[in-house]
Amino acid sequence: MAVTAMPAVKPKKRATQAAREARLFYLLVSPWVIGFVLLTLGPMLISLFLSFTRWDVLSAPEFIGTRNYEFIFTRDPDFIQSLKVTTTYAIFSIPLQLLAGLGLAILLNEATGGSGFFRTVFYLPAVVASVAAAVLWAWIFNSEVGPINGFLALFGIKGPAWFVDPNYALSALIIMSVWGVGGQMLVFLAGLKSIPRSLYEAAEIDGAGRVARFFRVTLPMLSSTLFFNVVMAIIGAFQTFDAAYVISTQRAGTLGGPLKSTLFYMLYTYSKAFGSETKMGYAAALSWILFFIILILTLLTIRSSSLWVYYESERKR
Amino acid sequence: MTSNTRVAHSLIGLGAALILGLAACAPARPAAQPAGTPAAEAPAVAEQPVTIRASMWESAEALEPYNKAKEAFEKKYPNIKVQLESVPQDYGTKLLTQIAAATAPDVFQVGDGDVAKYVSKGAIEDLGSYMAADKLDPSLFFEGVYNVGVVNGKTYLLTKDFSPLVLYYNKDMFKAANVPEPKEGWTWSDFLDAAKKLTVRDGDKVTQWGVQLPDNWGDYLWSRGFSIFAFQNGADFLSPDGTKATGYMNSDAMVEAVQFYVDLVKKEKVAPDMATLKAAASNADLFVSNKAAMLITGRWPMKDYQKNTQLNFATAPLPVGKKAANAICWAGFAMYNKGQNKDAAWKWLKFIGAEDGAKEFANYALTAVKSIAEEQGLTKDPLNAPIMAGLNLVVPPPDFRNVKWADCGDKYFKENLEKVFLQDLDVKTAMDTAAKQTDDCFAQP
Repeated sequence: MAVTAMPAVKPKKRATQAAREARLFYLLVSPWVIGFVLLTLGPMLISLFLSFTRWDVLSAPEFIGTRNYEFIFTRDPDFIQSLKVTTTYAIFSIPLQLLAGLGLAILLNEATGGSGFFRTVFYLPAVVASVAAAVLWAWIFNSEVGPINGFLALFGIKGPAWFVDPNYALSALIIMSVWGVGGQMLVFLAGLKSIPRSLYEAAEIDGAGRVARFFRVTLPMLSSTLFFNVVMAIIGAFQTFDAAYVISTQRAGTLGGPLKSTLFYMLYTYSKAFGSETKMGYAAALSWILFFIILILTLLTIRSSSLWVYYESERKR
Repeated sequence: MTSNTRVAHSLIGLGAALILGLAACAPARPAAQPAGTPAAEAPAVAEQPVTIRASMWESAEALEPYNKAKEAFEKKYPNIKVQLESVPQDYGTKLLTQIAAATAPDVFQVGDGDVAKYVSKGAIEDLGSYMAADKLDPSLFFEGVYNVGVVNGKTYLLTKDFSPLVLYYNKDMFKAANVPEPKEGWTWSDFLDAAKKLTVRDGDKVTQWGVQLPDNWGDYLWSRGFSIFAFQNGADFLSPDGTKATGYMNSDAMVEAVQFYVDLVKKEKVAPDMATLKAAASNADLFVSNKAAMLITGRWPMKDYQKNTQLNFATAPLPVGKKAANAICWAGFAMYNKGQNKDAAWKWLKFIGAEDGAKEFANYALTAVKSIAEEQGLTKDPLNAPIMAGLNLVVPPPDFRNVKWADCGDKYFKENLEKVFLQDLDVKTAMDTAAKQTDDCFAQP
C-alpha cells in the first residue's frame, strides 16, 4: 500500500480511510440521490414553476402569477366537488380498510392450519392490476347481472344501479376499496407476530379474557403498526384514481360521473392536465394543493401519535 | 371533456381515451376481412434509406389496413421503412407529450375534435405545397369529407375514414309489429310512432326497445350523436362564427330538440336509459343482440352486423325534422411539422390518404377517395347507399368553429343534459345554464 512511503503513517492513514469511507458512502447512495434529483425533486420544482403559468404543452408556458390558485379557490366549483368526494371517500374507506385488514390479520394469526394459503388468497387482490380489478367490480356491481344485486334479490330487495346511480356510485367504490386490503393485512400480521407470547400468558394469568387481551395487549402493542397503516391509508385515499377512472369512463360515461359523484381529486387534476384544452399549469397548481393537504394531514397524524401510539422504547413514567 | 371511444368496444372497460378529447367519434372498427392486394408499381428513384414513424390508436387486428399498406408501400419505395407505433390507450396524451418533446411521429392520426387544436398550435404541416408539387387535386375526394382537414383555406390533413350517422333497423321486428319500413323522407313523428309500436313490454320490463339512440356505446351525453336532432330541428350549438352559445344552445329550436331526445327515453320509454345500457351484460349494443328494433349510430358496426346471421337488418336515412340533416365523424392523417424526413413522410401520407394504401383502409371504413368508393360500388350498394346519401346533409360540428368547444361547450352541454336525465331538471333551464356557462368559459383566457 501507499502507506509505506509516508513517515507520518498513523494520522494520514486515518484520513485516507475516512475519505475512502466517504467516497464509498457517496458511491452507494448516488443511485438514490441521482434518482431523487432527476425523477422527484426536479419534476417537483418544475411543476411548482408550472403552477404559476398557463401551459398547454404545445406552446411555451406563460407566467401568470398566482392566477391559477386564485381561480381554484374562488371560482372553481369542481375543485370543491372533488374535495368533497375525496374526503367522503377517505372518511369511510380508511376505517373500513383498517378494520378489514386488522380483522383478516387476526384471523390468520389465530389460524391453526392453512394460514399460508389464506394469506396468499387475501393478498392476491393487491397484486391484481387495478384496471382489471375495476372491470371486475363493474360487473360485480352490475345492476342486472351482478352477483351483489343477485344476492339482494334473494331477500326480495331490489338493489340500486350502483355505479350508474349518482347516489350510490361513491358507496360502491368505498365498498370496493376494502377488497385491496391485502397489503395492510400483511403489515398487521407482521405486527401481530412480533407481540411476545409472554405478554398474553401474563395477561391470562391475571385473568384477562379474550376481549381484555385484545384491548390491553394486542391493540397497544399494535399501535405503531396501526399508525403506519393509517398514514399510508390517508395518502392512498387522497390519491385514489384508477378504479374511479376506469369505472366512471366505462362505456363512454363521463369522467367522475354520474353527476360528478365520483369526481376524485386526482381524477379532476388529470382531466385538467390531459383534457381537451390541456391546462397543465392549472393541473400543476391542483397537484401542489393536494400535496399540502396530504402533508398537513400526515403531520397532524404524526403529531397525534404521541397520544395513542405506544413504543416500547419510550416508556411513559 | 368530450367522451369518445376510439378503442374498439371490446375494450370498453378501458375507456381510457374518453376524456382526451381526441376524436369526437368512434372510429370505424375494422372487421377482419382483407381483400385485394395492391399492385406494386415501379420502385422510386434511389434515395438514402430512411425510416419514418407513424402512430395510430388502432391495435391488434384493427392494425390490418396499416400493416397491408405498409407492406405495399415498402415494396413501392424500397428506401423508405415505415415504423408503425400503435398507441391503443391514451393516444392523445402520448401524442401531446411527443409533440411537446419534439419527438412526435412523422405521420399521425387525428380525430375531428382535435383538428383545430393541433392546427392552431402549429404542430401540423400545411400540405398545400406537397399537393401542388404532386398535382394531387382536392377534387379526387368527396368535398364535404375532404374539407374537414382544411382549416382557414389550407389543407392540413387527408381523410383516413369517416361516417355520417345512419339508421339501422331490424326487418324481422318491423314485419312482426306490422310497421312499414322507414323510407326516404320519413318524419320525426313517423319515427316516434314506429318506435312506440316496436317497443315490447312484459309488465314493467322492456323486452324489446323501439330504438337505441346514437350513443357512443352507451353514452346518452354524446353531443355529436345528439346533434343530428338539433340540426334537423334547425338548431345549432354555437353561432355561425363559433363565438357565442347564448341564443343558440338555449334557443327554442334547441330546447325542442333536446326535449324530443329526452322524451324518447324518459316519457315515451321507447329507448333504453343509461342504467339499462350499462347493465346490459357484455355489450351495450342492443341492436346486435336483437333487443332493439332500430339503432342510430355510425357505419362502423356494419361489418359485424353483416356477419351476424341472426340479424336481418337494413339501413335507412335518418328521420326528417323541420329539415333533413346529418352529422359526421371523421379521422385524418397529419404530417408532423418538425419531422426530419418530410418528403418520405409525405409519400407515405399520400399513399394511405389518396393512393393504393387508401384502398386498404377503404376495406374497413368509408373512404374519401371518390374513385375507390365508386370501385366499391358504395353509392349503389343497398346498405351503403343511404349512408353515402347522408353525406350531402352533413352539418359541420361546433368543434370546427371553436377550439374551446370540447373544453367549454361540450362539457357544459353534457353536464346539464345529464342533470335533465338524472335529476329531472327541465330542459329549458338546463340549456340556459349550459349556454351561459359555455360563454363564460369561452371568455376565460
